Amino acid sequence: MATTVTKTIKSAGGDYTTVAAWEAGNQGDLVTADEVRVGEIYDVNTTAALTVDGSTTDATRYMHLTVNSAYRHAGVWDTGKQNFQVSSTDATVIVADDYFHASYLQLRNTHATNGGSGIRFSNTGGVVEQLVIRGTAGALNHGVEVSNTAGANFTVRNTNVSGCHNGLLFGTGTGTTVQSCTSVANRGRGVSSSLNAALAITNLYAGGNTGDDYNEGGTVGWSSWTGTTCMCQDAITETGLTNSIAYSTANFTNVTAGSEDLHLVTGSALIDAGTDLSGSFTVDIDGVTRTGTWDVGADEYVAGGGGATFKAGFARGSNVILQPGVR
Amino acid sequence: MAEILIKATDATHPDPAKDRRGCYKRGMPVVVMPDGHPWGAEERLPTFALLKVPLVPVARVEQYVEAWTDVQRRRWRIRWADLPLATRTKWQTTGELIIRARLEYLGPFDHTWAQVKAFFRNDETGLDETGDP
Repeated sequence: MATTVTKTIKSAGGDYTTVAAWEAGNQGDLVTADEVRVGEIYDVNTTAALTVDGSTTDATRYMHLTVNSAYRHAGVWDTGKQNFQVSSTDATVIVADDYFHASYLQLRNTHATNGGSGIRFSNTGGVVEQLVIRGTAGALNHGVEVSNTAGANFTVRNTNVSGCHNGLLFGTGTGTTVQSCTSVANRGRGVSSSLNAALAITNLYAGGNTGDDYNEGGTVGWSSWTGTTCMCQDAITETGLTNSIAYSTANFTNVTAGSEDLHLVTGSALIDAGTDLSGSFTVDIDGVTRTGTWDVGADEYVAGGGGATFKAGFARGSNVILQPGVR
Repeated sequence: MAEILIKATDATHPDPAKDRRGCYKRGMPVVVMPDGHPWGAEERLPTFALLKVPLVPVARVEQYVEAWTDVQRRRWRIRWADLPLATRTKWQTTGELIIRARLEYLGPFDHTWAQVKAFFRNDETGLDETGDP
């Protein structure tokens, strides 16, 4: 089993002070080294596009960029937490190494007109999870983009995309899996691909998009994807898809453009409407453990979220810790 | 007020196209930070070396970390192997060189900008630097 080598990226006192230096310092033959090389970001925000390229990797030896738990978003875009805000005509994160993993990043391309995608893959294999990707009004940027030149085996899960051009855009590569994501309020399509018979989507919600919520090969809906317990706002009829689920505060906490909070609300139609994928993963975009019947989208609803939980009956001298509820 | 982090070793890949496009080579600038930046524990020899140009604004040297997209990891590189032996030896031993590029800078330095600028090469044009930061 590969050895995981974690390096910290901190403004001071860590191994690296920028993600670019972490990537430059960890390029190499990870297969021969038998290593997974992890960059763990703390209090470092990034304003320059990151390219991940030049390494020899495979499905079990790869580069992984993530965020320390104290600096992670809580499922909502938060500039007070670690984030990438890049103004570039290229993608914010440009991936050319095989099997790159990205988790808990917040990505935004702020270029006013022709910004690139939040993260773009042009390689073989990769995993993105627990990402929050926000677009820029008027720009052509996509959220997650797997280019037509890319190979197979991409997984996108527990990710929120809003305000982009196309939210999730895939090429023709085989083995692409999209699980428990939410793609909303994009100016183009929610989920789009070239003709891709191998695209499997599960627990995915798309709504409030100017274009089609789902579109394969330029035609509304899909002809060859495999859909399981997905939802959308548009009146699209496909196997494994429930339509006419509004992108509104009946289902989500906040749908105001630029202030989206895609946590589910009490009574949301997405609650308990999904498929259990615990064979692949067990948490949601916040890192909350999914329990019971799974919800559709990136968030797993927790009753009482946002409030406080108080348990009585403490012995004299006990410490009492009050924590805000998780959602 | 800039310090430039320079790759001090070659990364390599067996695919020649990926090797050129993706791998940082010795002498390629990686990032630029202001004077006194608290570099990390790994941002030093043997993987990196610093080129300090005190009192020069970051914006004046940021061009050296521009990507040459889809061609080479960086458009600019320092012709490391062509540096004078004493300079190369010092850089490879201490991990930093201080370049005096502003007359206002009165601290210690290893070279002046005029002495080193010709070792910055733009690989897209094939020309060495002639300007001042």
